[in-house]
Formats: sequence, structure tokens, C-alpha cells
Amino acid sequence: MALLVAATNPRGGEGVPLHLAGAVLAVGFGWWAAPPLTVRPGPASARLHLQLARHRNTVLATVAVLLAALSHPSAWLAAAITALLLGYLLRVDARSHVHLPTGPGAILAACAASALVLAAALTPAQTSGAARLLAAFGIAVAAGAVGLALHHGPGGRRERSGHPVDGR
Amino acid sequence: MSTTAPEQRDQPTLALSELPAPPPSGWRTAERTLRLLTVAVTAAAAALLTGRPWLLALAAGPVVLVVLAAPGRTRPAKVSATAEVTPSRCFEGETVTARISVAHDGEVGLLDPGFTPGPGLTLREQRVGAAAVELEFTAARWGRWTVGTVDLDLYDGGGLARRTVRVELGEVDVFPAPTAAGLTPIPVRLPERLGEHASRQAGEGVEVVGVRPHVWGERQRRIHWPSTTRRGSIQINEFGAERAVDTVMLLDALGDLADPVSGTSTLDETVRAAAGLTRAYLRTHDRIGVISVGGKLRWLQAGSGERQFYRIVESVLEVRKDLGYRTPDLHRLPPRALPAGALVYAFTPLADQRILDVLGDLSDRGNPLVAVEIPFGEPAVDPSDQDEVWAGQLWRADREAIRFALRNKGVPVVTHQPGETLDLAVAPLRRGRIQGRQR
Repeated sequence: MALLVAATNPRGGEGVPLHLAGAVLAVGFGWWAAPPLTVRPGPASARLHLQLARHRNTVLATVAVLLAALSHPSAWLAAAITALLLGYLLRVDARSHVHLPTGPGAILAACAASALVLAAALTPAQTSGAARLLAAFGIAVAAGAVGLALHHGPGGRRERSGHPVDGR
Repeated sequence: MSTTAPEQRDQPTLALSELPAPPPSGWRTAERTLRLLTVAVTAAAAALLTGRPWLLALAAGPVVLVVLAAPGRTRPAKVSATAEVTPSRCFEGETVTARISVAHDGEVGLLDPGFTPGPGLTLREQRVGAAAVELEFTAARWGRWTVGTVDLDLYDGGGLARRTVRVELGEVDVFPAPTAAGLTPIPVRLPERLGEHASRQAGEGVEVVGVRPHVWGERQRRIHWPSTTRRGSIQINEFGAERAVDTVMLLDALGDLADPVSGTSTLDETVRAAAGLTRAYLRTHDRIGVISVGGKLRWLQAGSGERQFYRIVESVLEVRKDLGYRTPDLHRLPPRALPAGALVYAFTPLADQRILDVLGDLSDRGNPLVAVEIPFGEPAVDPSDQDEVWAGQLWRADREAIRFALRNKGVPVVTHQPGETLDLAVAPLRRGRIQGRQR
């Protein structure tokens, strides 16, 4: 809920009552969506409200990002939103149905990456018209790198776990 | 192994067993990956659209988490699972354990079982290990039950993708817990076979049935001295023969009625009570047979011994197969199922005209017959509604008329209350001997 409230920027310069109302709505939404899902994911349903309920943690994090994009947070608030979002994602991983706690190394790396990007983004620099194009190119390259990292090639048949598949 | 307390601890539901939809094959993205990538993509898109570079910081963390969790080439290509359920036969209330072992190449992370229970078992505990899952059930109701289906989710090493393997746990035979019973009433006429029941015919038993004058050559230790001194001639004790009794348990499986208050099932209680009385008669080395009426007519010829108990129980398990009933197909009872003069116990809720016809047929044959009524409660009546009150009175009068008609035919009707010992119901029959129409 703190993440959502921060993302709405309740002390925004213009339209403070609007921001406050948004914060109140965000608190209500967070009350429903924030607790990590502890039930095993069942078969996917075609109904929208069931899908929303099933992915409400994801929806909350995404809504927080969108709210942060729409508001104009100050530098310290942007840092707080980044930290809160990362903390929420790690908490959901650790407390959800399958309990996938992230190791300390991965947490440190994620925090460092976020801090590095945030520091680079908040550093005053001269911009040109091609900056957005360059950023898009950089994001595409990063996406390609992530895709390569996740690519599962024709391996995986090495015996590692000591539980072989008999005769197959 | 981690232990979890599942939510399916309540009584099994009284519903037809339905197989869940087949799981998708192959590896698919896990919820965690979807969440992290959705946030990252949204943040990156928002940064591009709004021109605010700080939003890329919101994408950087999730992307790093995904990349560091990538399993590389260790994700298994072949996965199989086998299940072992022990024991495959048990009594109500006992524990059944299913152990599911997973075999795979490569590396897997967590195992996440999703269990769809069968109708007769209750999941009590589930233990999840690194390569095996153990499920403990309590056999709640007798019957031949499908244990259930386990959809086992295997996560890869980083928890980014999962694959589901379906495991069928097979069937288990749950025998009814016999109702406590010790009394074994007997009919007037007993067949000519050695047993433990004292008959009225003279024989070599231990129960004295009278005295008679001594005949030359008889053993002197049998002399009944009080009669001898009183009559002035030697009198001899006369002993009754000890005979076995042929008993047939007639089960009314034409319907399964639930008590509106307690929810107990008449079919459950019918078989439990019959099993209890069967045990009591088998203890006295009598021959027991069984006929189940309903769905399909099933019968088992009378026999004795402990194995006969299990044969009888197994023969009636098919009566309830996952709570599915076939169309009743009732004919006259086969003569071989009913030995001549056999004592017949009919366990019935007395709620179907067809079982009353069967009882009338048996009574006409001359078999000594006892109707053991399994009550199914009274319908709930609103005392403020006069129509309901009258309907309730009519219902009770109808039930009493059924009992009266049976008693009028010479069929004793006793009522067995679920949870009580059967001796309470059977004890009045011990005051005399059960008479059939053939005397």
C-alpha cells in the first residue's frame, strides 16, 4: 500500500485533492491486491474478474508502475518507489504459494542495478532529439540479452539430480 | 520434507467423482516470471512513452532477478512420476498413504502437488520432499473408491518455468467397520450340521433339554438323580443337539438416504450393521451368505470361516462404485442364494416398495425372516405450518403401517440406531426362536 500511495504522489504540486483521492483509492486497491497469493494456481479461467484475482499481485505492481509514470515524483520519491517496488516483488516471491525466496546475491545485484539506473537517470545531462531513439535501441538490446539468458537450448539431459529416467 | 496442512480436511463430498481437465503439456512460464517480466516491460514502455528515464530503474531490478534465476541448460527434458498406494485394502477410519516418486534428468526446483480427491477419502496430511511427495488419507466411508488424481507441478531450478505431470493414484477398497455385535438369535429349525447353537432336537450337546427313563447300556454319569429318586426309576439327562445356523444377510441397496439432521447414510449403516452381524455369526462357526438388492442383484452362497467375511464384504463393495448407481434391475431372489430354512436378516430403511415385495416373497417362502430397520430420520417440520404438521403425522403413520404389515406377516421388525451396538436391536429376538411360516 505504501508503494501505491507513493506512486500516486499525494503531495504533488498541482491538483492535491485529486492526488489525495487517488491515494485513498490506491489504499483500497492495495488492501485487496497486496497480500501474496497462497493458493495453488488452478486452471486458467476465461472470466476477467477471476483472472484479475489470480494475478492480483502482478496487477498491483503494474498499476504502481503506471501510477508512478503518470505522476511527477521528486527524486527522493522516485528512489522510494523503486525500493518499495523491488521490496514488494521480493516479498511476494518469498511468501507466495510456492515459496521461492531469492538469494542474497540476487537481491544485492537487483538493488545495485536499480540504484545504478536510477542514479544515471537522475543525473543532469544534456539531451537531444535522438535520445529516445537511442533509449529504445538500448532497451531492445537489453531485451535480446534477457532472451538469450532465458533461452533453453537442447541440453538438460545431463544426469544431475540422481533421479534418472529409467530406460527412456 | 516440508509438511503442509491442506484445506481438504473436511468430510468427503457426496458427489460423483470428476476427473479434472488435463494439464497442459511441456514447460510453461511460472507466475513469478510473468510477474517480473510484466513489471519490467511496463516500466520500460512507460519510460519510452513518457520520456522519463528514471522509470527504467523500476525495470532494472526485475530484469536482473529473472536473468539470475535462469536455469541455463539444466531444465529436465524427460520427467515421469510413479505412485504407490498402501494399503490397497483397509477398513473405515484407517490411514492410506500414497507416495509419488519423480524421476527426471537435469535439475528441478520445487515440487508443488495439486490433489483432486476421490469421494471416499479425506486428505489428512501432505509431505513434499525434494523428489517425492507423500499424501496421507483417512478412509472415511466404505466402498471401492478412486483415490484421486495428483497434478504435480515441477519448477525448474530458478522457479521461472513449471511443468505438470499427472499421476493417477488408482483405487482402494475400503471395508466397512463392522458394528459391534455379539448376540446371534437362531431360528426354530436348524440344519443337520454340527455347530454351537443348542437346538431342541436331542443330541450330544451340553445343554440339558429334559430327562427320560434310562435304557440299558446308557452311561451312568448321565443319571439325573433328583428325578430318579422322585420317580423311583432311573432317569437320564437328555441333551440338545448343537447345530450351526445358515444365515443370509439381505442388503437393501435400492437407495441411499441421508438423515436430514446427522447426515448419516442408510447405505453406510446398512453394510456396517450387516458386517457386524456377519462377524458375530462367523464367530459361532455358522454359515453366512449375502444378497444385495439394488442396482444389480448380487449374492454370495453361504459359507463359514474368516475368509467368508472378506468375501462378503468384497461382494458388496461394488454396490457403491464412486457413488454411481445403475438402474435397478430386480428379479426374484435366486434359490441357491437362500439355503432351505436359512435365517434371513434384511437390513433396510423400509423406504422402497420393491424391498417390501422382496420381503413378502421371502416370507411366503417360509424362511425365518427379521427386518432390521435402518432409520433415516424424520423430515423437518415447521410446527407453525399446519399442513406440514399433518404431512409429518401422515408420514409417521405410513411408516408405522409398513412395520405393522410386516409384523402381521410374522416378520419381526427391529430398529438399529446408527452408532449403537447391534445387540440392543437384536436382544429382543433372543427371548424366543425366530419362526418362519414353515413350522
